Amino acid sequence: MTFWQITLELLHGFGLTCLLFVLTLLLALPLGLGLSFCTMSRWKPLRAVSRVFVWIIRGIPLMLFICMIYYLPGLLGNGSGNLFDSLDRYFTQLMGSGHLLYYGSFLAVLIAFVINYACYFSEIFRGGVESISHGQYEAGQVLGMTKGQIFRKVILKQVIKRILPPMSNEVITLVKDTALANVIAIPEIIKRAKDMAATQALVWPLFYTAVFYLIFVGVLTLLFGYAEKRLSYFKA
Amino acid sequence: MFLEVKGLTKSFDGTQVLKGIDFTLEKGQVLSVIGSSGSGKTTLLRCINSLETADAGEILVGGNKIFDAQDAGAGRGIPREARLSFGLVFQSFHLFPQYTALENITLAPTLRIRTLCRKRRLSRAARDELLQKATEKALELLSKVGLSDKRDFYPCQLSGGQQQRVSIARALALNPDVLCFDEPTSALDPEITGEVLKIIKELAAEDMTMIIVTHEMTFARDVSDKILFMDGGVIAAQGSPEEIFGSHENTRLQTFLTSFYSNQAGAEPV
Ligand SMILES: Nc1ncnc2c1ncn2[C@@H]1O[C@H](COP(=O)(O)OP(=O)(O)O)[C@@H](O)[C@H]1O
Ligand SMILES: [Mg+2]
Repeated sequence: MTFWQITLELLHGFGLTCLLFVLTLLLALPLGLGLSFCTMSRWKPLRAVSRVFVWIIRGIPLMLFICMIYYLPGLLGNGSGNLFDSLDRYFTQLMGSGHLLYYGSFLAVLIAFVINYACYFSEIFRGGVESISHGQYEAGQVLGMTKGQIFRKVILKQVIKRILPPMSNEVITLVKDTALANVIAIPEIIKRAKDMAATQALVWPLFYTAVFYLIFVGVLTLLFGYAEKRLSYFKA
Repeated sequence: MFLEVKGLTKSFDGTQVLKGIDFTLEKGQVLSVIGSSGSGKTTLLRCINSLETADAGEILVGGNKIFDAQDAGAGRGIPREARLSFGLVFQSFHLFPQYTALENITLAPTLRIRTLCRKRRLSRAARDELLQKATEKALELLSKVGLSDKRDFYPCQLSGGQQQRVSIARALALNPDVLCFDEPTSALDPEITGEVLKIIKELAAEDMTMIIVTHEMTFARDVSDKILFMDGGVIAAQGSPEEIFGSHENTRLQTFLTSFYSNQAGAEPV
């Protein structure tokens, strides 16, 4: 295999990495926001349940959690085999093409990632919201603003400014965590490099994958830096 | 009587902080509230401004009942229009950091106008005219507090005294019937308290009805029509500045004033 063929093969895997990254972000951000409201709820049962949930999810290694999501439905079900595997087969039949073999497994990984990251994001949101001085709410209240107006027009931007640094940390971690998808044989970039090492005795592509991650993380770092700069006009 | 506060009580975790506060105020008058720390001054202002819900008592403005602890709904959200009878200037300003001085003043009026226009289905042109008027009024208020040149500055670019002046303008933008101040100069360096006190004096000269919690005794004496001395959650003495700062028979008041003046006479405050 030439250098370009290998690069192309790895890029294929990296596409999957990016897809997992983007979908996780899109789903986990709103879910995390909702979850953070639950953990800050004034209704104690909801608060307790959601905090215990966050504790459990954050306490389980993501790799283990992926396996749980993938295997548990089958084990708990009527013994008809792995649910996500059946999905794989179903979609393969439907599409009639081999390259969608990982469709069901991808769904399992995505579910695990979204739940896991929603929990981390919710804690970041909660920290941000709770760090805003109570005086900001009260100033809005005495000016006759509604709770929703106070949150949207006064609190939100200050929260965003404060959570950007921890957010950028978490998002960068997410980029690298996508590699965990290879535990259930999702052909993301690391999986493809490992396969090359196994089948063609090519080891260097595995180290070459670092370049892809570095570039992606570099772009994200620039984006977060830009966002922080955009919000640097005020102190909060 | 323009403002009537009757039998206001408030407890926190079983400790009564306000033990029945009664006072009245005429339109255009200035009331100063003095008293040692922990006597309940802030709690009184917070109850009046519906940031706390009093356990008992009533508040009337111009004959309208703004608050009645007997009401079923008391505590569950005070009607917005009623709460706007009062304005409150905080000790530590609480300006909105992401908005300029001008935007801080126009934010609440703008949101009110937008809500109102949506509810009444007013035309876009009518709405824009109202918004334009709100901006003009905000600019007027900025010039009144002497900050026309700072309209596009963010709070972090303003000194403490300037921030407090913006927050006064912000409170005035909603036309409160009674404007309350909670130690408006306590967070400021001594040399710049004057610029804020000057604004309050000008408001007094324009017959703005005000309640001012303050430790600035000279200022209180000059600006007030009436003074309340609070002690342990009750009004221990009230009267004209002459009565309060003359030789009042209340010993607690005498002790408070004596210790106050001796503190001031002493060298640097520690
Ligand atoms: N939210 C609260 N919870 C519990 N205690 C409070 C609260 N707010 C005020 N207090 C208590 O009420 C008393 C009066 O406080 P405050 O009204 O702030 O006094 P002042 O403004 O005269 O210094 C103090 O003893 C204070 O500890
Ligand atoms: Mg106080």
